[in-house]
Amino acid sequence: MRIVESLNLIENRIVCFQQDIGLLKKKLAEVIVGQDQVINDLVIALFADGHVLLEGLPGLGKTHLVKALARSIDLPLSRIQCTPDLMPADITGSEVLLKNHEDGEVRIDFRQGPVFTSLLLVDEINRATPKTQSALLEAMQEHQVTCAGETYALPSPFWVIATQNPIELEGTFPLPEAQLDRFLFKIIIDFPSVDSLMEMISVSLDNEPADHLFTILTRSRIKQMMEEAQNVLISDTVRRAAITLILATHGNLEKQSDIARKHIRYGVSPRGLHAILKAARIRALCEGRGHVSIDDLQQVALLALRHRILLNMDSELDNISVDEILQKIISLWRKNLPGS
Amino acid sequence: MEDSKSMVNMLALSNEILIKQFVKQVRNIIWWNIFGHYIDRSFQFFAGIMLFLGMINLFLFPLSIEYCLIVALCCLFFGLIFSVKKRPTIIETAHHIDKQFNGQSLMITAIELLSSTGKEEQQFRQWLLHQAGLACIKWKFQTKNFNRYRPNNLTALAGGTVLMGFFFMLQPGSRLLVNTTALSSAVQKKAVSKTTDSSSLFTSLREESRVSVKAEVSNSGKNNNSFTVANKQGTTKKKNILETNKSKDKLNEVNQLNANTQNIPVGSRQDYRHNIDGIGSQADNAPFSTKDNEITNLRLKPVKMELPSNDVTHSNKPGLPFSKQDYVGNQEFTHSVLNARKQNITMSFRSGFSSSQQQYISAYFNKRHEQK
Repeated sequence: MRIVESLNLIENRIVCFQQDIGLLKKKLAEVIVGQDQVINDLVIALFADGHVLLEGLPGLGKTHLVKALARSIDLPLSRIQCTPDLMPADITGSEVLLKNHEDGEVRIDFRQGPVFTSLLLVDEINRATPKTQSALLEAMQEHQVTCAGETYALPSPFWVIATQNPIELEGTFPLPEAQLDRFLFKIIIDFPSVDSLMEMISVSLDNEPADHLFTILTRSRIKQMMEEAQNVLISDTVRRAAITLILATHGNLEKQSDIARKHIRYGVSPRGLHAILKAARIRALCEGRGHVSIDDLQQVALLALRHRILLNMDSELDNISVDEILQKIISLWRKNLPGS
Repeated sequence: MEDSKSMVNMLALSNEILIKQFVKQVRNIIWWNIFGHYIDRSFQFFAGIMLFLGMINLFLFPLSIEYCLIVALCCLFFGLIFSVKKRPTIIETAHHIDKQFNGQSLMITAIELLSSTGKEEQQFRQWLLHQAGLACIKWKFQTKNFNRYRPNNLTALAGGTVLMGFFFMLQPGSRLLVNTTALSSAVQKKAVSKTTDSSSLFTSLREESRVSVKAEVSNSGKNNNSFTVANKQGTTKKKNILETNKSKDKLNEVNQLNANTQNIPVGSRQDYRHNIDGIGSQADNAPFSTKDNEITNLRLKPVKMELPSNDVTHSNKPGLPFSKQDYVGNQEFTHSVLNARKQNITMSFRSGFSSSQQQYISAYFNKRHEQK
């Protein structure tokens, strides 16, 4: 009897997770019209405790999406508008000299920067200098900030959603590989279809739909959901399949595809393996499963790996994109899996 | 889902047993599929090889039926071995189940959970096994329509091909190109009672003795045609008889001649028998039949040919008609052999030529007989 109750409890938890995520996606889709896939990917990345890099042309609703998300999940949002003269202290915060007017005491106090939040929107991140960009490294990886020898913990959950414009090159600083590797997903926002545009006009021409959003998930519920995701089972076969996929992107390893050898200079890091498995767990829960499947890996692979691969000069000269190469590698990987 | 749950209760089986039973059942089905597939394929190969060897036997050179069957049966044997080696493992079966029933890696995870002893992840373990058990009940009914291998039309075709190939193997084969009926009967009657294969007799004779046959023919006083066949202890050389007759019209004539003399077994060749080296005067008693043909304006030039000896391996090996020791010093035996040889010497060296050459020779002798 106890076992049956336990089974029902777990089943209820999975169903609740699925419903909550579904509701969040639905509400976001009402605000950001025609970008259902982007919303789905964004939610998966955030609940996998990862950061997201949104890449798209201006006006596609990147900032709007993040704002709507912040309203839906009841988490504090900070925004950093990156410019070339932005300094690291402007992000992390700095120690300032404070004078108490009552007793005239002077003391040094740490003033927190915008990074001390749960949801950090870094707009146009590639406009900031590498020095400023690297100020985010510690915060993104270790969820803490060190300033003047003091370490300050960041609130949990801590998510960074950065945006960048793919076509503007002048006055921009491409993100270094170390920085890119810290993003769980790189989501590319495509131009919406005609139907989506028609719907968008009717929804948001005269009013702001995000204003009507209400809180769907609280902080505690979000943390609970993230903990539940850690219980999702990953079989050894699936783990091995994920490792095979990571190794397939390395051009200098034995177990590789010819495509990787020909086009890729540096493959995916072990952090990429973590990323793909974490994201696959959330996707499995979104599908109402308590275990990760090969399909989950395949679905999140492109998002989790596309920014972790460095192409060689030949591929760049031939104008072959990372996505093309990665899709070939993924399809080949899937084909060569045992039992396929 | 409720039905599945009630089924679980009804069966009163634990999820573990249910999963194991289901996977085992599917594994057996898959294995039978693989078995059928490989056996079918190997049977098709078997048929192909049988046909191939049968054709070789029929048109090129005679083959031993036993060896042909052994070679062909090797295909079936290897097919059997492959099918046994390809028997799926439990994990492969789980992969297959997930793929077949859109299981999303459920069965793989369940199987791994069953085989693992780790106590971590206990929270989802029972739940997942329960899910897998329910899925097994649900999928069990679908295994009736599982991907069972069924032989296709190619198998029936292969069966027919096997029969045809076997029929070809049973034929005398390339020996048909030489009319050996008279030869074998003559040999059996006159010379060797223990032998049944006249061609073996002559191959053994060619091995032991140097046979040289020369036939000189003059045609209408224009050309002196000579014809020489020699076998020099295993060295074989062939020269084209028509090497000097290069013009197209002559070739056409010869082709026509060949067509006309296709079925002429042996002509009367008494005019050349005296030129056969090593053959006595008893050659005149040879039972040659005569048949007219339409050879006209045939011109031959002296051509020297030598018999091939690649089929001559006879000494004291079992199965061959007789050995050297059988007839050395035995005059009666030697006479009888020589008689047979004289009667059929043409056959023996003809078997060393190509079919067109043989036909040409037959036609030539017939022509000579006609002129006589």
